[in-house]
Amino acid sequence: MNAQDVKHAARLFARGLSRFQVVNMFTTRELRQRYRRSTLGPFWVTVSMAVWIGTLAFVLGRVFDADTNKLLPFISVSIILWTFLATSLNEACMAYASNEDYIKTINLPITIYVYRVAWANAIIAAHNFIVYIAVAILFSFIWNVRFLDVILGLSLFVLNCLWMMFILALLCVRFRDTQSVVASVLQVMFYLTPIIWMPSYVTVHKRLFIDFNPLYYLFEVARAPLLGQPLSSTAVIVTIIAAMLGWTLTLLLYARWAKRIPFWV
Amino acid sequence: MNIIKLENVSIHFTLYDAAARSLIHTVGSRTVGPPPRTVGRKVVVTALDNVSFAIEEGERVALIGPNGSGKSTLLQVIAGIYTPNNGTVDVRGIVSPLFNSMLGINLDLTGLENIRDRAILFEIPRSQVSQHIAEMTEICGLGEYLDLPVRSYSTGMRARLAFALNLLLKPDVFLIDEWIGFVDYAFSQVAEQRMIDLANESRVIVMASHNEEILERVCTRGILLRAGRVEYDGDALEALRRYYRRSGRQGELTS
Repeated sequence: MNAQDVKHAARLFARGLSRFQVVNMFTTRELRQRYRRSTLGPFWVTVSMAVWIGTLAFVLGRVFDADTNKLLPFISVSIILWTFLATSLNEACMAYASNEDYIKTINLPITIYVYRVAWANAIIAAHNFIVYIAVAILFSFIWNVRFLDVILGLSLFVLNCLWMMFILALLCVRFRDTQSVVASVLQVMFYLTPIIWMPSYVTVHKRLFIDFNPLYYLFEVARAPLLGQPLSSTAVIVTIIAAMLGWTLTLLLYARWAKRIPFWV
Repeated sequence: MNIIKLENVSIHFTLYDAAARSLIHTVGSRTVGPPPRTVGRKVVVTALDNVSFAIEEGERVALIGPNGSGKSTLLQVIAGIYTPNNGTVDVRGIVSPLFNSMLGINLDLTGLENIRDRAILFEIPRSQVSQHIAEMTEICGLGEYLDLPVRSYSTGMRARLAFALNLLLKPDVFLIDEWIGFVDYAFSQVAEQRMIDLANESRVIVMASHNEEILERVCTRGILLRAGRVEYDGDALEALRRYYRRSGRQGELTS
């Protein structure tokens, strides 16, 4: 591997983005297929999301004896973010394997297949966002939301999700077992990370597993602005560093192995 | 001018499954493809072994050889899908993809929608698409069916659509991996003529085909592959003749 390979890999990511029309075509076809002949279509996702969030807030509010006014908005945002992250990472594992036909017949930038997964999940997240807006109005924190912070937070969130997706896609196409590992790890992280419970529920000396959990910062950086709370500088710094390290690793891995993907699928 | 140039190109497929190791005995005893071998704990199949040739502007090349001889892999290398393990590949101009079947055709979409999707895939500017659509309506003769979902098409109609879609791109390097068999006979004469037209328009054509008639009408050169190696490179019909001689079909050239 030399500088040329790294440059080539960087171009691979750019070329995938520049063929956004293709990404979008794949995605809209897939979503249309999924919701064919359904009246509500993708809004079924929104409905089930609302039901899930409502149930969680109701049950957990009683279990933790917590203030629903705080817990419900927190859970709404967390679950929407989590759904995007978990589905994206899980589906990224199959990104190359499930596009074998295309990979072996047409020479498209290989990154398209991962962008495609991300874009499909972004569209679904946009549908789920309706739940967030309803909650934000209902609990009247929408007026505290600062638009620029939201953009910054969500960008850092997505930027980090993307490199994880690219690495997982590459790993899974070579080592098929990775997919099952990813699914289990995600399940564990769902409970370990403050998603359906708030960090304040944990006493200070037990906070270690929050403080050393990178996912906590990833959620914090996107969640706080959406809840109309100030951005924590720690979360911003941690996620920026994570993005830089993650993308460097991704670039190096793709520089070395991207060419082998058609052989592995 | 060389449009395609391959130098010492080798492609090795590594089979990682544990089952592959036991498979080697079964596959290895057959003669179709190159025999797999074990490297350390892995099973390696050499699909192309040190292949070199150059194709100049205007040449129409037929790839001939038994199953597993490396025809498809070679086309995939030219299409830029596989990067060789060894050797270099140099291809100039727009290369057609290897669409040869129903891949990418969405049954729930209409024929027209499928054409538009394919145009996006091939990066054909919007302004050219409607012109292509008109042209293709004519080629595939599907008429009003183009406004209906492909699901409602008969097999023959689907084949026509697939054929028309394949012609959407006007490539410099036209790669064909045996597709004429998909089309019913009545259509196949139209298809054949259109293919010959396109062959004349493109700068280079490389096809994996044993169809004697097509070979005679289109190809100027034949490359006979066996076990991933070039066994003969020269006249197209001579290549076919040698292929049949080796596979025990005396004299008979009709496939």
